[in-house]
Amino acid sequence: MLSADELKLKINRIWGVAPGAMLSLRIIDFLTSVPSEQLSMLTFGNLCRVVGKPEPDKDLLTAINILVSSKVQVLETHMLFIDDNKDEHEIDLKDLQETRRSGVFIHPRTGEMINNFEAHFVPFFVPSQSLREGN
Amino acid sequence: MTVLNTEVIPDVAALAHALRKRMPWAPAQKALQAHGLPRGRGWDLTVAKLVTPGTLAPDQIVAMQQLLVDHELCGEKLIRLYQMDAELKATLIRQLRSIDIQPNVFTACYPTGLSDAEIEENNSFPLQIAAIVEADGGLAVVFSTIRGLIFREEVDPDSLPPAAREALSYYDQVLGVRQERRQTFEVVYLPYEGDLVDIRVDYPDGMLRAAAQTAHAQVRQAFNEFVGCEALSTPLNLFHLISSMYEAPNEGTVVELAFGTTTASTKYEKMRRSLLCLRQEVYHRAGKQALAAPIEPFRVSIQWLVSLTDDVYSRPELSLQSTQMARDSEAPTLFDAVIRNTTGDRDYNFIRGRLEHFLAAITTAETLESMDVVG
Repeated sequence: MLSADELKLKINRIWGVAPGAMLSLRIIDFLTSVPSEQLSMLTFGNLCRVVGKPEPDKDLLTAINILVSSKVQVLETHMLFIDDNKDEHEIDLKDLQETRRSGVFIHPRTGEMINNFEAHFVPFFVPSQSLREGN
Repeated sequence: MTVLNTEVIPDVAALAHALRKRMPWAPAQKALQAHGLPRGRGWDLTVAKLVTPGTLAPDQIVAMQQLLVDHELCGEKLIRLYQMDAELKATLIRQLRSIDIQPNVFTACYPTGLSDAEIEENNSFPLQIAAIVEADGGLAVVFSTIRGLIFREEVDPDSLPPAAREALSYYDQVLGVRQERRQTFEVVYLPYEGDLVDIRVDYPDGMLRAAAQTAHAQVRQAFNEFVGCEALSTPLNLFHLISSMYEAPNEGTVVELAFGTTTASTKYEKMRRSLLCLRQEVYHRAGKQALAAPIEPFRVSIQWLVSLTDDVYSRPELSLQSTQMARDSEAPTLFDAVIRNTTGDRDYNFIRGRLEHFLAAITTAETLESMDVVG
C-alpha cells in the first residue's frame, strides 16, 4: 500500500510534469485532506472545483485517467444510470463490467434492455481502498 | 377457499409473461435466485431460459407459480392498516374459509391472470373476488379488476416522421404519455395473529397515487359488502411513524427524507448511492446540529437488507409519503404506506412487522401519557 507521497512520486516518475499529471497531484492532496466519509461521490463537477476549472478539459481528463489507471489506482470509477423518469440507479460494478464486455445494458429496475445507454450514464469517482488504507 | 391444483402443471409461458409484466427486475431476479430458478441478464434472456422446454422440473414450475402468487399478494403495494376486533376477525376468517367463490372471469385464470388480448377485448370488468388463499400466517381475499395505468416515456425523435422531428427540434427531450390497461390484484389480508388487517392495492411505477387511493376505497367497500358488515372502517393514522422510524438509529437505511425546519425552510434529501444512510450523512447531521429545534420529517423511505438464503439478500423498501402542508396541520394524518421491492411474503411481512412494532410503541406511549394526565 503506497502512501500519498509515494503515489505522487510514482506519478511524477511515470508521467513527469505534464499538466494532467500536475493536476492529479492536486487531486491527491485534496483526497488526503478530506475525511473519507465526505468522499462518497466525486463527480466531474466536484473535481473541476478541486482544481479550479470552470469545466472539465483535456488536462483534467488526463489527470482522472492517471488516477484511475491500474498503475496507481487512486480513484475507482463508478456509474449512475439516469432513466427517462430522471430516477438515478447506481450500477453494480459487476454489471458495469458485463455491460462493457457485452455492449448490452439492462435497466436495473425494469430488467429491459436500454438502447443508447451511454447517453444515460453519469460517472463518478471514489477514493480506492488502497488510497484509504495507505493514508 | 381457493386451493391451487399443484397436480396440474401450470403453463410456463403464461407464468413467465405474467411475472415479467408485474414484477420489477431487481426483486424478481433475487426471488428467482432464492427459489433456485434459472435467470439471465434482464427479462428477455430470463424468460427465454424459463420457457425453454425441459429447463424446469415440475416442482420448479410450481415454485414459479408460487412466486407469482406471492407477488400478487405482496409486490409493489400501497397499503392501509385497519384495527379489527379479534372475535370479529376470527369469525370472518372462519366464514371466508368455508365460502365457495362465485366463478367469474378472474377465478378462471387465477393466478396467471387474463391475457393481453382478453384485457383489450373487454371494456368493463367490475371488481370481483379472484381467490381466497392461505397466505403466510393469515387468509388473503384477492380482488381483481382492470385498471388504466399512466406511463411517461421518452420518445426517440429519430423514430418520428421528418415533419414531426422538425416541429419538435426546439426541444431537448420529447416525452409521451402512454395509458395501459392492466389486471390488478387487490388484497384484504386477515392475519391469524394480531389485531391489524391490511388492504393492499397494486401500485406499480407510473400509477397515480390518487388512482391507488380510489382502488382502496373500492376494495374496502367491496369487502364490507361481501362480509355484510362494516368490518373495515377507518384506516390507522401512520403519520407519526415517519418521525419515530426516522429517529430510530438502527432502523434500516434511510434513503429519502423530507422535513421542515423552524428556520422557515423545507428540505428534500435523497441518498444517490446504495446502502448509504441519510441519518449518518455529514451534511444532514451538521444541519441538524446547527438547529436548536428538531427537524419535522413528513416523508421518509427506508430500506432493509433481508436474508432470503445464506447468500441471497433482498432490499425491500417502505415509503411513508406525506406533505409539508399535512405536517403543519393541527392533526396530521397519513393512511398510506408504500411497500416496494419485495421478493415475496418474507420481505412484506418483515416490513409489516416493523410497522406493527412502531404503531404499538406509539400506542403504549399515548397510554402512559393519558395515565399521567389522569394521575
